[in-house]
Amino acid sequence: MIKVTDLHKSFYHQTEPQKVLDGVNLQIDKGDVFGLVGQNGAGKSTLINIMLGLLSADSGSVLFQSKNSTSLKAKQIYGAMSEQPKFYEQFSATETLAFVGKLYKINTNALKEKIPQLLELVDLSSSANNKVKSFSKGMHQRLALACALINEPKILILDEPFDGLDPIGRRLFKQIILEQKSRGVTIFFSSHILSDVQEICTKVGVIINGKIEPIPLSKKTTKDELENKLLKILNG
Amino acid sequence: MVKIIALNTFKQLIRDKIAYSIFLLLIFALTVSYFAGTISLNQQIRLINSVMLSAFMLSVVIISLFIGANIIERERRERLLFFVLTKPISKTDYFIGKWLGVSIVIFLTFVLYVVSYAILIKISGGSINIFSFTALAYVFFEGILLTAIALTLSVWTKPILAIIVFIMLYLIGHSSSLLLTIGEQLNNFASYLLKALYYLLPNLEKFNLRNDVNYLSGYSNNEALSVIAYFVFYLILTLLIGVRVFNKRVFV
Repeated sequence: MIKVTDLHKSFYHQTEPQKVLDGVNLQIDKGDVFGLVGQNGAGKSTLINIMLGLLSADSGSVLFQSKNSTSLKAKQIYGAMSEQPKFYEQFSATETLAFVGKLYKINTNALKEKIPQLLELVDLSSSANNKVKSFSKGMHQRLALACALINEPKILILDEPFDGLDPIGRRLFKQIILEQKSRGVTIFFSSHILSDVQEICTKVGVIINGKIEPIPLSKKTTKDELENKLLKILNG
Repeated sequence: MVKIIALNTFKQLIRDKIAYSIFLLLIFALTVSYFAGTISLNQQIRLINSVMLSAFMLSVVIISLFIGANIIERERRERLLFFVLTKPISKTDYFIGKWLGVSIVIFLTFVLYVVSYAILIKISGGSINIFSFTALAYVFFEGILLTAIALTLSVWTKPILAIIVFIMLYLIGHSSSLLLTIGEQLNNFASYLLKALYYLLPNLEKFNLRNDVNYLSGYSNNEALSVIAYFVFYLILTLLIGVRVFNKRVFV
């Protein structure tokens, strides 16, 4: 479960505070897929960076399974994927996954089994030993998702996961996210693409004026209806 | 965790072709030492000592300055910090791992120089002087201390400022006795300030045996131990400061 409570964050431009998050509250239960949408600069990445401990909040808390999200124990149970992921370019996909696996203290024998499986899952088997610097943007995304899954996370945090993927890649990612959901993984992702959000999310929220407004969603909600609801909230 | 980051950093640096430039400098030093030695009058061994030590010092400064002062900032710029720090690793382990990774490169360079030096001395018909190895080892100590300083500066300020401050510290560190001499000729406040700097900043001349390497027959174990204790003290202090600054910094 993810629980965000009364999160505040301001940035200062020439001593003038600019509130980006102004009391964000959010609860995502086990097995839910939460999609966060919002305009550019609304604070989606700021929220994700605070959730992952890369930025500190002015006040408020983020808990992953009741653990402070910045603690090493919380880091053991989540997998994260950044917007435009980057890797050590001189390393191959296999070496990258091995490095990440070691950071999760996965033993070498287990990694020898796990890495080819993950590469197959994200359709990178044929590039397993190619250096990351030769990868396209979509391949970077695939490798980032494989890295996020290597510890069999209970929580997945994905920042614009479909960005730069071709239609086949997008379909594959949606399948993987839904498989993770069926395993009981709690998933939080941000996206600009409403059709993706509508297809796979169980909950949707829009970030506006530093707060998250929930968008009511049912199984029958179409992409157009979701778009209308979103525009209604954005236009006040 | 420190070991994983250190080995990863080492692999990264080796593949970034830093090894080639170190190797080229070594070849250059060997060539200069050998051929200049053959035309010098009974000074071949001294020349080899001097050139090899200077070349090693230059390699160490290049590594600590251009890699140490840049490696974490480069990972921030390339968004690699997001990739690593969202994994179960503390910032402390990451910082120490980066320092250790660069230090392994310096150690490898040290081994290369020791072996090349021994071979060159043998080829030139000289006998191996243990103090030359001591002098090389001191440069190695200085190198890993300089790397810790460069890393600490790089997480404290912008890369260009870190490089400028590093160069200043390096120059002051190698002429810190001047601070005392100048201090004695100035008024009270400036005198205290220079004395404070003298005691606060590392005296890098303690690691410099380049001028004495041919006359070190009286070098005692106590002297060596005091240099090692001095090195360990400054290294731990620098790393503690670096870790503290790095833990407080925000990198997105």
